[in-house]
Amino acid sequence: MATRTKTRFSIQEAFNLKVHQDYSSEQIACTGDMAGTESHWESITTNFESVSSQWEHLITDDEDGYVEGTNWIDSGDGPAKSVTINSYTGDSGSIIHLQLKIDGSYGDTIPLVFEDFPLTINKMLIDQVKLNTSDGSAGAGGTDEVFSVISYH
Amino acid sequence: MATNPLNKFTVAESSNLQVYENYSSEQITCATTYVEGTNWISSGDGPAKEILIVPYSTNDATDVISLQLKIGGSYGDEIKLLYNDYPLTISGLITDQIKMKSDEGTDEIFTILSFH
Repeated sequence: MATRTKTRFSIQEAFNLKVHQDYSSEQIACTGDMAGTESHWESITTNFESVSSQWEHLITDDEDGYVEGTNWIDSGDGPAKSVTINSYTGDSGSIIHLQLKIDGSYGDTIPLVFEDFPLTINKMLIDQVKLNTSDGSAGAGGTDEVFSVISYH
Repeated sequence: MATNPLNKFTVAESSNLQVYENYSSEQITCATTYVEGTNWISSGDGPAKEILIVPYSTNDATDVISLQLKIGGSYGDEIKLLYNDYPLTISGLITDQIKMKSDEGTDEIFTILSFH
């Protein structure tokens, strides 16, 4: 039961949350997680000549390996009432981590296998999503898993 | 039929039950005895209005997975399904907690995605 104040929508709000005014779509290309980053560090320590290029890659990757999608609050789309995350290309056994930003902050990590997608999350107001992958096989600057994200607002 | 007083919702409550404020996620590694997930009442998440149970590990399709839902403070009937029957979505119900077990031991892992 909706006992928490923030959970209490008016009847109009609750029904409005179930219908959509517009949609947007984008692709998120995952580039590997912290395991991949650690391998870059190993490369740095064993090959000093490549330090500058490796460092450049490190600082352009997200610190936690996640790649964020569009912030639908900042973009003007408004929060997504439903999000469908489709697997576009990638390895079926790769572990994908997903986080949803709700009301300005990211929540729990959702660990799933690549072949479990597509995943639809609806009936909730989502500001943004971010994804990472366990598969760092594409190496520095490479792309391992690509997702198409369709959001309804 | 909504004969249990706890199941009698107002229109606003039943409408609210269909939309969510937040989510949480965890993994349950099954054993031959029941393993409980987070108690969403105690954790402050509030009861789950929808639960998605997704198999995470690769296992035998015919492993028997038993699932129980805690509603209103007590667990209900045991739901027996095969590993291959998952993922399973349970919605339209206010769930405090879930617990799972497997006839195969500790090699089944599930990702539990709950909406509150």
